[in-house]
Amino acid sequence: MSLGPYASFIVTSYLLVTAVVLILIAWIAIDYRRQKQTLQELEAGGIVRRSGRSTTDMK
Amino acid sequence: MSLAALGTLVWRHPLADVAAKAAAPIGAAFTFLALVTGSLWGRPMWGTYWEWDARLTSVLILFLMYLGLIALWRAVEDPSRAARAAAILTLVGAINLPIIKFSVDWWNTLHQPASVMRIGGPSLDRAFLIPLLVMAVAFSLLFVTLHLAAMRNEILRRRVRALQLMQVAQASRRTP
Repeated sequence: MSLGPYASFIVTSYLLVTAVVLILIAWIAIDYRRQKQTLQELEAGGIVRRSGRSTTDMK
Repeated sequence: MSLAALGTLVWRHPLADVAAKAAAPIGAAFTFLALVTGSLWGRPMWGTYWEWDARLTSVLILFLMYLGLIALWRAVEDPSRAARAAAILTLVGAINLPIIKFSVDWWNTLHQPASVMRIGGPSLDRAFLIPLLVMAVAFSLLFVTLHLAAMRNEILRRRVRALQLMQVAQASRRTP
């Protein structure tokens, strides 16, 4: 399929959008894992919330 | 974000500043994409990547305001103080939104006038309008999904902070 005279614009834009969206998704996923891990480490060290609920209450 | 800012300042809803803080980086990323892809399209259409006209400049200001909000959240350690300051900045920044929308009508710009949301209906051909609306819906849904996930992370971050403060308090009680 020929993209015509604007092929470079179309390809560059799609690549850029894909990269930025993937970076956003990865950043959110990595941040989630990091926060969960820190919470679990704190709870393992005997620090618990006043309500007594654990981090596994929020998945 | 403006609604969340009102939620922080007026209704003091606990999730309002969580929503605002989580939305800023995603809004910044989406605005960055609009600026760069628009700039790339500007080259074949206008013969230049960038022009300091009203639409482009006002969207650049929006992007800079997102960065300013992110910096503000990071600079102020106390989340409730940061939330109030960010809410005020957000409401001030909201003035930019009608400027972005109507900039092409108020000023003589390189950018084409309104072609979708205008009196008399869209002036775009259906071949362009339908894919544009489909992608607008898709990106709105993507934003909602990413925003909800980022809000969940922010709630977890606040739990971590609360537990770390408890840990410090417990340690200081043990030390004579």
